Amino acid sequence: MNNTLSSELRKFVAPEFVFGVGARKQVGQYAKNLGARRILVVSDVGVKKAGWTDEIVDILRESGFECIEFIGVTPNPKADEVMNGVELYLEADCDTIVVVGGGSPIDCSKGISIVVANGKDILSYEGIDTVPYPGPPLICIPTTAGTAADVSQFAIITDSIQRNKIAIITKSIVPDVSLIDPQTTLTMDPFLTACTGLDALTHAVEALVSNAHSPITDLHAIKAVELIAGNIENVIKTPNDLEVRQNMTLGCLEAGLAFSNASLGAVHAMAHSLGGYMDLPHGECNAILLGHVMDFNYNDAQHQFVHIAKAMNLNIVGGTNKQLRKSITDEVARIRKSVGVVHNLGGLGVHRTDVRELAGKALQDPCLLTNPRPAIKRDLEVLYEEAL
Amino acid sequence: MKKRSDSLTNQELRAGVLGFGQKSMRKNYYPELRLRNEELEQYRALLDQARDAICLVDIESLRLIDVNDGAIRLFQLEINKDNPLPTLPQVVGKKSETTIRDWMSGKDETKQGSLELEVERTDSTGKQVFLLLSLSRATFGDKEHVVCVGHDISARRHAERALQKSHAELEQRVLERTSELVAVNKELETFAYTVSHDLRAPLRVINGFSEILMMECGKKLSKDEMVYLQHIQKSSHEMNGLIDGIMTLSHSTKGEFSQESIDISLMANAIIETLKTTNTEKINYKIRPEMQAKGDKRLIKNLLENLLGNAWKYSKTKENALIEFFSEKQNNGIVFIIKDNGVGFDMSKADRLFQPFKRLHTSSEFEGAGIGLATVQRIVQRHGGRIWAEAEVGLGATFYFTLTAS
Repeated sequence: MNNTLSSELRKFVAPEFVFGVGARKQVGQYAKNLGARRILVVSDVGVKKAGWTDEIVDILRESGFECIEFIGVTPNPKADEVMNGVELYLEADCDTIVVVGGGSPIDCSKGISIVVANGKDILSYEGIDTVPYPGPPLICIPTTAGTAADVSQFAIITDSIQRNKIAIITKSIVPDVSLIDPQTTLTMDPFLTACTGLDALTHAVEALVSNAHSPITDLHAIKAVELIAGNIENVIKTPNDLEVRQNMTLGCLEAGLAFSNASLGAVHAMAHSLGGYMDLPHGECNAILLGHVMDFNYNDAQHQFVHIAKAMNLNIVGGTNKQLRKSITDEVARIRKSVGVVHNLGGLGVHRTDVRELAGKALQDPCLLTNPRPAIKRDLEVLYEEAL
Repeated sequence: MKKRSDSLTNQELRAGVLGFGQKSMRKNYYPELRLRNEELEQYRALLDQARDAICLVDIESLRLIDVNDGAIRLFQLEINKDNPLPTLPQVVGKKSETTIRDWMSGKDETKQGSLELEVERTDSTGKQVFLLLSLSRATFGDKEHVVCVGHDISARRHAERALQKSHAELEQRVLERTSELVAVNKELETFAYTVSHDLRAPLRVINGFSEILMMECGKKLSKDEMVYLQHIQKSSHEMNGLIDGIMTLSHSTKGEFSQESIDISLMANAIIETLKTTNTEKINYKIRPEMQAKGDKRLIKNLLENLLGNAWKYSKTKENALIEFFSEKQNNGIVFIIKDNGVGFDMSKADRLFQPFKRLHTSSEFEGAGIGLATVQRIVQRHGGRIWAEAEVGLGATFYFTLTAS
């Protein structure tokens, strides 16, 4: 491990979290700790159907809280969905937000919280450190082992008019509490399980090779790669094995703690562009792009890739750099295929003619700031083309 | 869309991503909480500065929940942790409870918004304190409360009471004084009446016997003795006239008083006709026809007899004597005017004109007892009117009078 501390300062922010089976049932106590009275419960239709939303609402109501449900969130949450949530929050005079769901409801909740406290349209907070006042208390109950939005300082909102994803990056939106309960991931279908798992793997890899990585974030990222690479194929084979689910959830959490503090790289910059422009699933886009970007970055973060290879349990003794590079990207490709994410971008409907536009948007993404290898627009175009 | 290159360098942006942006560095609730807390303390200090009592009241039990220093002073509250605060009716009087509850339940629709009521409480020293309470509703959190503001109006009420008391005392004194005056007046009038009445009997005797003496012994008496006897008779006639005058004067302020419509022109003409039969002088007169007045017929007749009689008396020595009686509209009433071109009088003595027994001319010039105008003034006053005069020596006099208060 490259333990030489850079002269740059490093900061590590994580919310209070409770991890383990049954963690979600603490929601009443935490709502009480945060002085809640009337709670906006944000969720989406899928999670509601799986029964998690109703269970949480029941617990909250039994604990004496008034709950207002907002399930109008779609994948790649849109700015107008955020504003609808804000309206409901203010109309019902809520004071706390509890979110039950994956990355989309959590990012939407972060957006609601920003607007409630600061007033303007959510899109005006695009960028880094743009939020003046922290929002109302936010409790997250993640139901996918992927996004780790429940511990991160990121919120990604789609501007449907510009067909663009905007990133809001600020420590102000790190949630107050995250109740991470592996049980909630049992209801994910195999494909969603695969996509969210590969998303988490991408988080861990990008945090490790980020030019802002640090010993603390490395610690979490390496553990995350170990856990995800070691369990992702098993979780597809035995989806009801709670222990495997728990390992995946923990891997996702570790990856989240790492990337929230070391930030990400070109995979996410390019995936955000795809999600905004073509409304494609975030996890799947990451999975397709990961191998290509790793290959692109390899020479600028060789030390870190050694850690990745070790964590993936690859035999690297005596191999050349070139061999190592190939075995890592091969392994990523193998895992992807093995868990059933088989399409390339072309298979998702991305056309060669979209590449310029996609690269242009990705170039503006803040995630690119911490990519180990500086990328120009042409680099990104080539990467998209390779992934078609 | 904001471009990364718009304002910040990539280096600055990267620092932001790593959580070193200014706003992220500041992320802390405590400064904000402290600020809010200070604001609250500031409001509290302002509330405590108020002299008025300001209380937050529970809507169910009417128990005081929070009070400012003004309320502690005004309601003499004891703040200690073991004892709950009293209820609003306990501090402002039980009588107010029904009013307050009616207002809260919305029974009293006119006062839906807020309720104002005056209450009276006795403080620990036994002093009465008057309070003006205004109650309104306020919602904090999810619960509705009543906010009660109490304003001490004791100083005002005490001053009002003192004023009322002195008014009453004054009224009482006026009443007492008036009744004393009424008694004295009555006594005087009775005295005047009695004296006049009692004087008549001896006068009748003097008159009667002097007449008998004249008839039966006239021839025996010398010329001088006869003149003495005539003096006695003349004087006793004068005295009889004087007694008549005093009795009229005394009648003019008491006795029944009726209000009827009178053709005052007709009445004046009749009086002139009588004057013509008892006097030999030729005097011209002009009376405007159909003048109407309202008043007591007997008293008005007396008034006209006096004024027209005076006009006649003081004009008869003049050639082309002329008496005029007419009326004029002035302000909002009618002024009656009796004008002659007789001897007139000196205006500098006009203040004595209406005083009884005060005369501006000697009896040797013009006979009279000095009671007529005093009687006239009382009659006018009894009708609620006013009388005044203008004159010039040698050119005549004009009397003005009204019969109703203007």
